[in-house]
Amino acid sequence: MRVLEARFAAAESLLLAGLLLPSALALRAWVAADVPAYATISSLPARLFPIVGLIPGLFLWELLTAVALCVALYWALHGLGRGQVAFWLMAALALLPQVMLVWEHNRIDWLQLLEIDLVVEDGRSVLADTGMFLASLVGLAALYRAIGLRQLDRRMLLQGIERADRDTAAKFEAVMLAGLAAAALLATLLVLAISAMLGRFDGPLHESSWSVVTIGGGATILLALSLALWYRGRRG
Amino acid sequence: MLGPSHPGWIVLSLVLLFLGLSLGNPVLLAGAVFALLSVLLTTAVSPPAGTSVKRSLPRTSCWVGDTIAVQRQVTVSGGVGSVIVHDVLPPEAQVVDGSNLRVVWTWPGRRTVDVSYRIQFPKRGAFMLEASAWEAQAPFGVSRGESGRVDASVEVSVVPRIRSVTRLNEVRAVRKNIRYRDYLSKTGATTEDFREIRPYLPGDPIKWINWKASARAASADNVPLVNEPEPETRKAMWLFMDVADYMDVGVPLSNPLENMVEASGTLAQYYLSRGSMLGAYAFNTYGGGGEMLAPDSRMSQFNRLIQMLTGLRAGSTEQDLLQSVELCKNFLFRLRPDVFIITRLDALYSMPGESTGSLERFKAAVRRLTALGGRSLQPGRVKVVHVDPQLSSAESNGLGMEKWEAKLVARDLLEAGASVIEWKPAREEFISVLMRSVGVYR
Repeated sequence: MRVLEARFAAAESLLLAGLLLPSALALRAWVAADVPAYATISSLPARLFPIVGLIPGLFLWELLTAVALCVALYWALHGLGRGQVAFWLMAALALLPQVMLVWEHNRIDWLQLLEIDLVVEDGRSVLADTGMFLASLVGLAALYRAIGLRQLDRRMLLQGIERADRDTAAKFEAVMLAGLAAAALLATLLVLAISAMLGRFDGPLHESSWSVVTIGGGATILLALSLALWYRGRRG
Repeated sequence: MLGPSHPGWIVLSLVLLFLGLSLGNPVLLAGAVFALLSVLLTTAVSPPAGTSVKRSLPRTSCWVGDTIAVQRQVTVSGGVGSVIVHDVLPPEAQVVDGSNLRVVWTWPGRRTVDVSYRIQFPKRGAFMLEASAWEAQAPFGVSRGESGRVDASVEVSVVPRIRSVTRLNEVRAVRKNIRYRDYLSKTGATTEDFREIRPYLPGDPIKWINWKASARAASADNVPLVNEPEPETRKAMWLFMDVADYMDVGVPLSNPLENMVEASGTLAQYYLSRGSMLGAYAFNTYGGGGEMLAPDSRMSQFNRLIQMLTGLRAGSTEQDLLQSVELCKNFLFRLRPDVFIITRLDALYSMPGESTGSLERFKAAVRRLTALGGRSLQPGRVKVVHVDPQLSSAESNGLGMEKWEAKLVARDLLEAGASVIEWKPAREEFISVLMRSVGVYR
C-alpha cells in the first residue's frame, strides 16, 4: 500500500516544488526591485535590512533548498494529520510572492492616495505577470486534485479495487483535470481579450479602466453564480 | 478539481476579486475569473445517470471446486464520471477471474460495459450472493451521483463432489455370490417366515408380541416375547459423522470435514447402489445438537444425504458418539446395521492423568453398537474411519504427535470391538480405502 501511495506522493511533491519555485523566483525579483524603496521606510526595523537584503543574492541551489524545506514542511503537516492546513499554507506561499509582484499593475493607487510613496515602477509586462499568476493557480488546482486522487486511490485500494481499475480512474481524472484547466484558461483569456479591447476606448467612465470594470463585472457575476450553485449543492 | 464541496476555493476567488476590484488590478481579477470558472465548470459536469446493472448466473448449483461465471453488464445512459459496481460475496467464495468490484468510467452518451467475473467455492453449502450494488460518482470528487442495487439476491448451492463407485462395484460383482449372507440384515420390511422367539426390544412392532409365549415364560423383568420374522435380504448401513470444529482444520478444499463429507458420500453411494438401507446421523453440527437422516433404501436417499451434507457446518463439541447412539437407538435396534463412524481419532486422545472421559464414552458407544449384533456373523460390524488431518508442522505444534495419538486410540477401539480404517486423504482417495475395506470385511 505504501509503495502504491508513493507514486502519488512523488507526483504531489513534484507539483508542489514546481509551484513553489516560480514563486521563490518571483520573491527574489520583487525584493531585488523593491529593496531600495524599503530603505526609505523609516518604520522598517533596521535590523531586518541585512536579512531582506540577502534574498536577491541567493543562488538557485539555495532557492531549491528553500523549496525542499517547504515540501518537507508540507509532508510534516500531512503526517500530523493537517492536510488542509498544509495545502492552504503552501497556496499562500505560492501566491503571495506573485501578488506582491503584480502589485504594480494596480490601477487604483491607494498608497499614493494615502500619501505613502512606496511603489517603484519598473515597467513589468501585464501579460507576462497574468500568465505567471494563472499558471500558479493552475498548478495549485492540479496539486489540490493530486491530493484528491491520492485519497481516492487509497479509498479504492481499501475497498479492494484492482490496480488496473484504479489506474484507469486516475488517468481519466487527470485527463478531465487537464481538459477543465484548459477550458477555464481559454475562457479567462477570452474575458481578458474582451476587456483589453474595451480598454482601448474612452467611454462614459472617462479616466477609469474599462479593463478593470469588464473583468471585475464578469468575475462578480461568476462569483454570484458559484455561490448560488454552492448553496444549492449544500442543500442537496 | 474545484467544487461546491470545497468552499476554500470560493473564498480564494472572493479574496482575489475583492483585491482586484479595490486595487483595480487586472491580474488579480484574471485569477479570480479563472478560479470561479473552474468552480462553475466542475459543478456543471453532470455525474453518470441512468445507471443499471444486470446480473445473471448460468447456473446456481455446482460441485465443490467448480467455477461459476457471474455475468454483469453495466449500462449508463449519460453523464461523466465513474460507476463503482460491487458484489458482496460470501467469505467462502473465491474470485478466480476478473473482480467482483469494478470501476467503470463513462463519457457522455450511452455505454454498456461487461464486468463479469468467475468465482469458485472450495467448501460445500448454500451461499447467498447479495444484490449487486453500484454507485455513480462525478469527476473531480465534487459530488456523488445516483446509487442503487440490483433487486434479487441469488442463492448458490455447492454440493460435495462424490467419486463414482463404478470401479468398486465391478470388483464386488466378481465376489457377489461368494458370501451372499453377508448382505443379510434386519430391516424394516420383513417376510412372513418365522425365525425365532426372543425378548422384546425397543422398536419392535406390537403385533410381533407372542402373548401366549410371554404368559408362559413370564420373567422377573416382565419383558414380553416376540416372534421375529425373517427379514428381507437387505443390508443396512448407518453413518455417524463427526462434524465437530476439530474436523474443520486445514485448507478449505481438503480438510478432515470435507474429507468426511467425501467419505460419507462414497459409502452411501456404494451401499445404496447395492440395495442396502441407509441412515445417517451427524453430531456436533453448527448450532448444537445433530442432524438425522431417516433410513431408506431408494437411490433418492443419496440425494437427501447430499442435501444434508451440503448444509453441514462444523460446530462446538456438544455431543459425543454415545449420546448420538442413544438418539438413534430406535432405528439402530430395528435395523441392526453395519455402522461407519467417521471422525478424527487423535481428537479423542487425552494426556495421561488428564483424561476427559471422551475416549471412554466413545468406547462405550462402540460396545453398544457392537452388541447390537448384526445378522451377519462376520466381525467388524462397527467400523471407525479415522480421517488423517494432514496438519502442517505449524498446525500440529511441530511435534506431529497426532499420528501416535490416533494409533493409541485405535488400539483401544480395536479392543472394544471396532475395526479401524485409517484414511490419509493426501495419499489416496477414499474409494481405494473402501476397496481394501470391502476386501477385508466382506
